[in-house]
Amino acid sequence: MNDISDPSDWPAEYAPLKDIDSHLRCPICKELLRAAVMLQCHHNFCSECIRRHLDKESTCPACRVATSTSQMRRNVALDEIANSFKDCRESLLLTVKDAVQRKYSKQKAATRADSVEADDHYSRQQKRRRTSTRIVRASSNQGGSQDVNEDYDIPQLKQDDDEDEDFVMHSQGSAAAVQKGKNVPRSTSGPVLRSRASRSQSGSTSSQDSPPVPAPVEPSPSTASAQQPPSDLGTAPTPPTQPQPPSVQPKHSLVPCPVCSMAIPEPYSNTHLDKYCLAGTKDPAYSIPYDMIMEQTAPVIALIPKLTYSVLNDKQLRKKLQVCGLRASDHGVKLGSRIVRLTASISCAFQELGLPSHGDKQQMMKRHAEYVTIFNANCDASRPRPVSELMKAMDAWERAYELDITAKEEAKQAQRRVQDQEQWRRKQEMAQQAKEAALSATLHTGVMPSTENSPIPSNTPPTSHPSSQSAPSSSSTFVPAQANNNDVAVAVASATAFAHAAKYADEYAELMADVRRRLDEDKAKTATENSKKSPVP
Amino acid sequence: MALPKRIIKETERLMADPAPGISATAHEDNLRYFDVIIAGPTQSPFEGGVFKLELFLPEEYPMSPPKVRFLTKIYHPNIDKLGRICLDILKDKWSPALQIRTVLLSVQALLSSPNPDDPLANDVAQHWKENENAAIQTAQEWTRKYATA
Repeated sequence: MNDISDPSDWPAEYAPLKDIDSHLRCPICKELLRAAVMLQCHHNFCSECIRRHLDKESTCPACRVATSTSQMRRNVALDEIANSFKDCRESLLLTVKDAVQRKYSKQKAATRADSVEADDHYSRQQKRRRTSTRIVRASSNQGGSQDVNEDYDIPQLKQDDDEDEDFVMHSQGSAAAVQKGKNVPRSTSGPVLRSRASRSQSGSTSSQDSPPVPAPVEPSPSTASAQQPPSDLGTAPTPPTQPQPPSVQPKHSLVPCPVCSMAIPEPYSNTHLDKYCLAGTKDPAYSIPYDMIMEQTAPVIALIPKLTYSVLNDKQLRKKLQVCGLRASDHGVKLGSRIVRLTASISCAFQELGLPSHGDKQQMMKRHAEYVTIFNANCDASRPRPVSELMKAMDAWERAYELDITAKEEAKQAQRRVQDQEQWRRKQEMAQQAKEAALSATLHTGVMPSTENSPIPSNTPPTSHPSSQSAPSSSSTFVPAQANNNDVAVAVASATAFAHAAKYADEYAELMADVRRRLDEDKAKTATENSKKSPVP
Repeated sequence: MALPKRIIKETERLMADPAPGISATAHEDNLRYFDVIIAGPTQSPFEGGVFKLELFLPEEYPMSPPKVRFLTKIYHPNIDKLGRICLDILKDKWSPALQIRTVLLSVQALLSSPNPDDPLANDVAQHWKENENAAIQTAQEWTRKYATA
């Protein structure tokens, strides 16, 4: 699988496709959008990415306008487009690349014009071309670009029928779906979610100028509920019963059947009663309980609220983690009913599963935050993953976290060891220098400084943090030197000050180097002086 | 931690389609560490120079900014003698929508337009403010001395 995808994959001849590709990418992770959400400034991101970002900052990554998670709204249409593009990207890319290659080989063949095979090939191309340009034009127009190179040809359209149409259909998806939702009296397949079958059915007539087809049976209830902007998920607790947009099939046209309590379109209810319920059989077309459909559109999928970890103690946090899992299974049912259509076992499998609650508070906090992020992000997806997958992701996170911790610990230890050694070595060196300096000073001035009173702690390798120890030692070692050189004294003082502020470690190191250099010079000077003096007596 | 896809992708793009005057190559043993070479922009005191930088992507990247440092000595009011760069997007103005390429382009732009009002190297900035021509001359000298390959 080609899992590293990039807009640059598209050949230059198909710039509009490249544009579409880059527009459908999250600016943060550079992947095709997953669960697209829009901020107030109208920039779109993956829900998960922007949630992670907003945990740290409260500005839009694209324009730096102040924002917050509560201002995020799902961008359903964009998410669907991104999903469909994901579905068809690979085969579309193959097709396009193939087309480009063919064009080149065609050009070659045309210039040579000597091979019968090439002629054959060319005529085949021509035939295909007629059928395909239309699709390309439609799709590239969707991308907002006007200059469509008429030379595009997409051969092999037949093979890739499905994919290409997906692509086209989805770009104009919402309008078409709404139209269908309005016209359709009833469904044969029941309110199954937008299925591939129904898409490709209408997709085969996908040129934009074809009249709206009333016939294709699109399940009306589900269209209505899928079209329902569920942007109020949890963010607004109970939105007042807003009037539905007129274009969307109103919810109240579905009624619960008084006998079987399944959701039935109102005009159909009598037929349903007569034909099935009163006859004692089940209506194959409508097998979804009314309650469930109503529930889907209501804001039941509450996002998990963030916690203020600092006010919780370990015990409370542990409890929260355990509750998380329970909530998860609870949500699984509801999420499942929305899209995943209850793989029936989700709820049982995770009924009793909470998140792991071991580890220290730091780990629990991170675990909770991670789960809240991926769970809430999943709520924004129009194709949410089942909770089992979230749990798998959490398992992976758990492993990565453990690895990370051990790696960090090891690195820290190694670093400390290196620092200690370095420090120790440096101190030895300095002590040596100081001794020499003191010696030369005594020779120079004839006064013996009391080195015994300022013992140099260089014989024992340091164990604590370097900055805390080096400061006193450096000042004590340089006491003798002070008598010699005022500059050195100043440098030492500032070095000591720097040492206290551990974060300026590199300046400190630099200054120390400077000090050493000056000392060396000093030493050399005194040495030359000594050598000058020594012959005299 | 596995290397995030985004980093792999960026590395590939930097190799396949480098920005003009900028080259960045990842270390083979540490794919988060890049050797960067920026050519001094034309019409700047750094023209003709070839500046080496190092760039490191921390664990939290892209949620936190990359660490960038000049390895070549440079006379610039916003770059100190340790090579550290005073650039807002490398600090508080970082955004995860930025990437290695944009960061390096910003650094290149900083070379074209030194900003002595927001200095990191105070002495250089002072020099720049008091006698810009002389400062530019020094910068050219330094470029000749240290940044010619």
